[in-house]
Amino acid sequence: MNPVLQAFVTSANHAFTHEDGATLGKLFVFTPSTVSELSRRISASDDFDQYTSYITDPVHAQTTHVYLTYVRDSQFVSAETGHGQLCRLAELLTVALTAANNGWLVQVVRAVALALCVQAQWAFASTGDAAVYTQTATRLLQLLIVALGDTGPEHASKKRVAVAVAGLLLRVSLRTSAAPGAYAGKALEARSLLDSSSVARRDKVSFMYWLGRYYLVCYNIDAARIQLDRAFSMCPAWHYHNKRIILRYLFVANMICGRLPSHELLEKYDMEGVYYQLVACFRAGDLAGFQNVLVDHMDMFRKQGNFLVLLERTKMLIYRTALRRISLVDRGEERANVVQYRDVLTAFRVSAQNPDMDVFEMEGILASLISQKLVLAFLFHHQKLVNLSRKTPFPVISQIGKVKPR
Amino acid sequence: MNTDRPAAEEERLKALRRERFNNTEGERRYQQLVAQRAQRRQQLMSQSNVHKGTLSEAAKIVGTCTLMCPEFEREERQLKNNIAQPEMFPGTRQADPARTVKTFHRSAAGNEEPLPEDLRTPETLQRTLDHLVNVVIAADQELRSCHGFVRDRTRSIRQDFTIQNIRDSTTVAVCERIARFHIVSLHILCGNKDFAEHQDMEQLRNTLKTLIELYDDHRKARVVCANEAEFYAYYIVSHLRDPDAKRVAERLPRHIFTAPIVQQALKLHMLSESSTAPRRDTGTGWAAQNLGVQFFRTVAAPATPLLLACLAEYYFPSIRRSALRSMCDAFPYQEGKEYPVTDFAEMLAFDSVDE
Repeated sequence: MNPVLQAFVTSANHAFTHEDGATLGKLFVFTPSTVSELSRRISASDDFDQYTSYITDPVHAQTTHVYLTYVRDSQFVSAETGHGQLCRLAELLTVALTAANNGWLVQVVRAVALALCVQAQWAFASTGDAAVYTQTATRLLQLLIVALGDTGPEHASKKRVAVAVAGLLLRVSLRTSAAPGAYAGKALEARSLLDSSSVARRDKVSFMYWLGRYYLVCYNIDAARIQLDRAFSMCPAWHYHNKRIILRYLFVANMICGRLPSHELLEKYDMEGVYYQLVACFRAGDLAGFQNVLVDHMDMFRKQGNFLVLLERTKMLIYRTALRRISLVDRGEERANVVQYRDVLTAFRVSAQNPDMDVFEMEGILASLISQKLVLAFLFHHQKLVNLSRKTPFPVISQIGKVKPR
Repeated sequence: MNTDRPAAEEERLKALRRERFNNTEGERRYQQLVAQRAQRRQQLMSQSNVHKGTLSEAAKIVGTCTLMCPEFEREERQLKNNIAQPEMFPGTRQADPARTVKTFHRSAAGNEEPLPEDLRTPETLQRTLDHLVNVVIAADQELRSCHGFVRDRTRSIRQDFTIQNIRDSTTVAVCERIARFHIVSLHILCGNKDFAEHQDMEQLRNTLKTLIELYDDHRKARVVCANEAEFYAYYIVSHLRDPDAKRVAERLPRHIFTAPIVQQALKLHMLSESSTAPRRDTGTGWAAQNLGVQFFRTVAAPATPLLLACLAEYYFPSIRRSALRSMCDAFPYQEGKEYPVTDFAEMLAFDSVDE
């Protein structure tokens, strides 16, 4: 037998037999360089199938066999076939994980789950078939159910891998054609493990990031902001690239909650120029400008899945800004908290670049702002004026509670 | 016997009873068909892979019926006096084979699998839909009496396509026409006390869901469906206040996403979102637009096609309620200076002050 293969087989055999999770974690690391090197050497041998005879547990034997097949053939099979192999491997790992004393398998589970997600992306890029994501989500869900069901001691519990798998499940669920909630229900149970010290920080950050993105897709903006903010804060500073990715979505959630980033923050993370333009238009109350910038960069925001949520949920806030700016204009001897309809209508027309807007439309916008407590005021149709609250007509948006459904 | 009826009426009822219960020829034919079906089923079971364990080994069932209604069903329904009026010879209660249409059969665990003779070919299904539109609906354009009949028969058409797993351009064309029928029904029968609009909306949503899956399949096979943008627009509007519709839209190919009809549908969707509408997940209505006036003006705009406006009409009461709630918050009560009802009617696109 090939000496490299012999050494690999011996190590794996020893690791499985003696439940050495650390060794297995190193053996099953899916870094591209490891895979290609192993694949190159093992492909020279035809005898590694006999490795299964060294393993007494048939499930472990099958698991290792499938993994080794994947390693050997990964350079020679299509992305789709590779994905199929990893799905099979995930199924076998699920079975292995249900055994009582197999908490040490968590490192392997994490590596396989991550490889499965990456392979699904390659398979989709190759075939265009979104079913690969559905298959991936199903396997991850099965793994998660087993992991969350463990009641063992924390240091050896299978729950240690639940947060990582839940994060990956949320990631894949956003790509399936089914509603994300179809898979997210189980993933949300992993939230209870976020304070556990036995869960790796990187897994917590990934989970919070994908949970934030899930909430954003569901238009649950405040919940999205909280998760993305936590992910951003917890992500180490030297993970510049990851922080930048999180910031893209945090920008959207914060903007819809009325928080705008500073120039320094955008510069620090070298954010694209479009973000500066959006902030400028938002601050100026320029709705038409904001929407034009968004449309000009439609492809970029659509790829992130943020185009429609930004287009929809900033409109009222920008009208609010326009109303606030007109209310600050000195109108001579009139009471400061009273704004005439004609002034508001002019401001809204300029903001939206819509000269055809009439009083009814304006009243509709104002009524919507007032009912959502974004503006504290009353409207007087006959007197044609807006009577703003004397104290805080424009409460801080981040302080405004959720509107209670009637 | 009721002796109060006139003699002529009594004779007529007797003749009808005779026709119904002494239909020995019909009964014989029906029993013959039952026996033939049992034999046929046995034959097929022994020949085919109908009950193989895995999906990949199971044979696809291919329909062979070229009539709008399979003969067995027609005879069975005739015997059970279950023929609808559009299917009868005029002036009689006899089923006209050229006008009888297969009904929808609910799937149930105890039901036997359909035979190939029970399933219509794609060409027959298309011809059946032509008959329903060009003959049945044409004779009752107000849809007052034929709507239930056509809804049931179109559901049966879709069922036949599904059972045979036919997912080609014929299915797309048929499903598109059925979807348009449901949209028109929602508009024409709106306000009719005998019309259960939520049932029609449910069938429309099912049809649109099927169409979306078909479009995905065709796109993967690089086949262009000419009306894809139109029906994605209907999908978006039929799911107003459902954020998932926007998620689906965001993932559309660029050329469909930027199609004017899809953009108009998205505009309506965004304008309809309300923070005060009842919803399952609290917190998803934050900064919603809730712009009722703009919504109705967008519906009336020339850029909104007729069918899209008809579909949006389903949500008018809900949009008006949300707009009224926000107006109640914004306008304090002033005695003698109430909000003019004529202005209110104009804002929310009521046909009249009375409405």
